Amino acid sequence: MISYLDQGLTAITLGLVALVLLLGYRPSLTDARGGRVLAFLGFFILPILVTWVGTSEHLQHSKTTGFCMSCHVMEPYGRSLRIDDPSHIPAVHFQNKLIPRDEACFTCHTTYTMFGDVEAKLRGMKHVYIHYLGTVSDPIALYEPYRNRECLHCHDGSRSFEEQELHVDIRGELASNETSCLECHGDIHDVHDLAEKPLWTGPGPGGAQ
Amino acid sequence: MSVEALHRRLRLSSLLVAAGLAVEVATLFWSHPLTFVAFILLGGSLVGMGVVLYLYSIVSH
Repeated sequence: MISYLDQGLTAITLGLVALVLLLGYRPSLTDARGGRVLAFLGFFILPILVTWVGTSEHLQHSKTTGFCMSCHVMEPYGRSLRIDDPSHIPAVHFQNKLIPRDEACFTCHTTYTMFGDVEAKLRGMKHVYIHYLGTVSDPIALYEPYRNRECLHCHDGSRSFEEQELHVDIRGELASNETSCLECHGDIHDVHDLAEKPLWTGPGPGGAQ
Repeated sequence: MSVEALHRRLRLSSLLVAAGLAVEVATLFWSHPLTFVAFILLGGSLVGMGVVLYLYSIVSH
């Protein structure tokens, strides 16, 4: 479903297209001062503004679970969110709404730093290239070992985390990635072992079944 | 630059900007990596070329 912002942006853009085409069809309109101002807005200020807002909207779209799942290669990973198994970490997070269902992939697979979003998007562009012009590895591998920061971003300071003595004992090791969270919590997206497992039939992203 | 030449460039700039904006708005209706690429590489480039041509036209007039 298209958002209100997208609808508004579409309406403004179509109006701008009409204005730009009018100025192109009748360039003599720009001979007068008012026409020159209109042309400056129509040919320069507003297109830049629309492109900037559009880029922001696309970046928001690209964070959605549906966006990730729109690539065929991601289907098994989407399926792993619905596995009816409380020991499967992504499924537990998705089904219990520990992460936003609409941004299930992005929540755990971006880096929570100043340029984390930018880094994720640049990698996303590379993924598009590999998907259409390269060879996708099977299973999909991360570029580097999964950083604890992406877990601790939410879990650090939470009661369930702090009440585990082991967590407190190795807090420094976790913070420095010397010990990975996945050493103990390693049941993550093992998609080739999930084919026969039953699926949870609850709501998906956006409340869809 | 003559007024006719300015008008000619404005026409071309108008077509480039309008085409770029049309591509950009069309891509908003789909949530897929290729629409993102089309928005940036095709829509953004067309708008960019149109804007640059417009600016070049008015400063060289």
